[in-house]
Amino acid sequence: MVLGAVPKWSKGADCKSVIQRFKSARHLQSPHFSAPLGMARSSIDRMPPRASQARAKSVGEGNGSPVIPLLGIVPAAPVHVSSEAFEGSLATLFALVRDRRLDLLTVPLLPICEAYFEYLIGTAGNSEPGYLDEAAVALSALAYLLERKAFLLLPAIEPEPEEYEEPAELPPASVAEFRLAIEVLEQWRSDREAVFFRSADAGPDPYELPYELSNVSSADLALAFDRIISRAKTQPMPTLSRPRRSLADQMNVVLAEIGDEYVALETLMADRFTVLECVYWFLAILELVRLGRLRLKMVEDVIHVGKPTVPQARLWVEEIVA
Amino acid sequence: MTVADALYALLFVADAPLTVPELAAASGFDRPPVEGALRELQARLDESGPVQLVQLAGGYQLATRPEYASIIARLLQPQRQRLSRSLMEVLAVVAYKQPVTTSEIETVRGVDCSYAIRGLLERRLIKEGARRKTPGRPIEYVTTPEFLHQFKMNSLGELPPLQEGSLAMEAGYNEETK
Repeated sequence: MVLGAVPKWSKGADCKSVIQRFKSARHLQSPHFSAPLGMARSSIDRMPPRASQARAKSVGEGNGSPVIPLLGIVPAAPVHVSSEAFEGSLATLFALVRDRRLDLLTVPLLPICEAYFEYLIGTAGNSEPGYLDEAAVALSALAYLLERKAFLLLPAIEPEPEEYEEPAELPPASVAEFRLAIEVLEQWRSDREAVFFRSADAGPDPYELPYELSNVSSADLALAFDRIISRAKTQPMPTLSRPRRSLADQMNVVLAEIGDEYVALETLMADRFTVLECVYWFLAILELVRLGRLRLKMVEDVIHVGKPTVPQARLWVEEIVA
Repeated sequence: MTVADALYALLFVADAPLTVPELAAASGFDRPPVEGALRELQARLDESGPVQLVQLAGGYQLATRPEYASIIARLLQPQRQRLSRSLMEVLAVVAYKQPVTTSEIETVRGVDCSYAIRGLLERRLIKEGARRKTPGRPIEYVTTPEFLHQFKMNSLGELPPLQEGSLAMEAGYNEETK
């Protein structure tokens, strides 16, 4: 083939043969290729076709180095696409597809490829340095369209349907067979309620022995506790090795502290006690009252605590008899 | 000191049912005389007095006679705790089908039973047993000695027999309990 000869192109011709013919042309072996495609893509539709070409020529021109376009902007190639779906320049088509304003699936790409080859063939004899940049930009635009359409033609990945198991339907209730048994059990429980044992824990209805608060109310106790705890000193930091305190031990301490006479509840504890000690003392006193081993009485708005002189059980029996 | 008197003393101080082996070990007598003495003591207490010997939860325990319930209740003032219908149903299912899982109870009742199971666990009428060796390793529920005690039974063998459920009766019962 004679160098510089222009390959002929006709619509519908075999593309491979045309490309092969075109590769042999000297224009594609030129070192003049430096188009920054990314920037060219973004501005390809906004620049007038030949506006920056003149400026591109000024950079690196005449010294044999590759042409570096000014500001990296390469003008759009004048590739005109004519098909049933679209009529206009390749740059316009590119911009429309890029901005998703045109459904690429409706646009056949064969006429666009033909138009590009026509452009290449038509400009094969062009010796201007910016020509290859222009052709490369058009090629990248065409490649973008091809890739995009190929991607669109891929079968869509359908989301897998979520596995949903129907809740197992319970069989019809068969509790009716327990009906008589339940009635018998309820009768037995009722009979059992009429029987008392030494331990209240095992019974169906919990009970405890009644306790005596005399003329002291729960509110009086709460106020006394509030006054005592206000005198408490700061709680020291607990240590891991500290043994747990037993309420039973504390009850013995309280009993040892109280003599035969009634003493004021709020003066019972020695000064400089902690909040924890205060709580232990108070709980122990309440438990001793509940067990009937201590009694309370109000003397001049002060709660006094002392040991009962008569066993509590005897008092209860006397009250019941009375 | 007779064997019956020794057992009477032991039962008087005990606050839970004592089994025959426990009574034999504590009294120092063999089992046969202990069993005979228990029968003798039971007969003696039945003749007179406010106390009776009852066989409960696999053991023997002294209890007051029902005739004295009113005056004792006046002193102790027990707080009556009724078991609701749903609790009774779940309790009956556990008692008869134990060890039983939650799903098995729900299969019988046809409704969610988690609340009732929790209530029975709090009342110590049922307890968690072993985990079943099936997928999910569900917890199995069984009744407790407190269940026997509270329902005046000596063993689960005393549970009344279940009736044969007919569909009509079942439908009527389910309608009634809704």
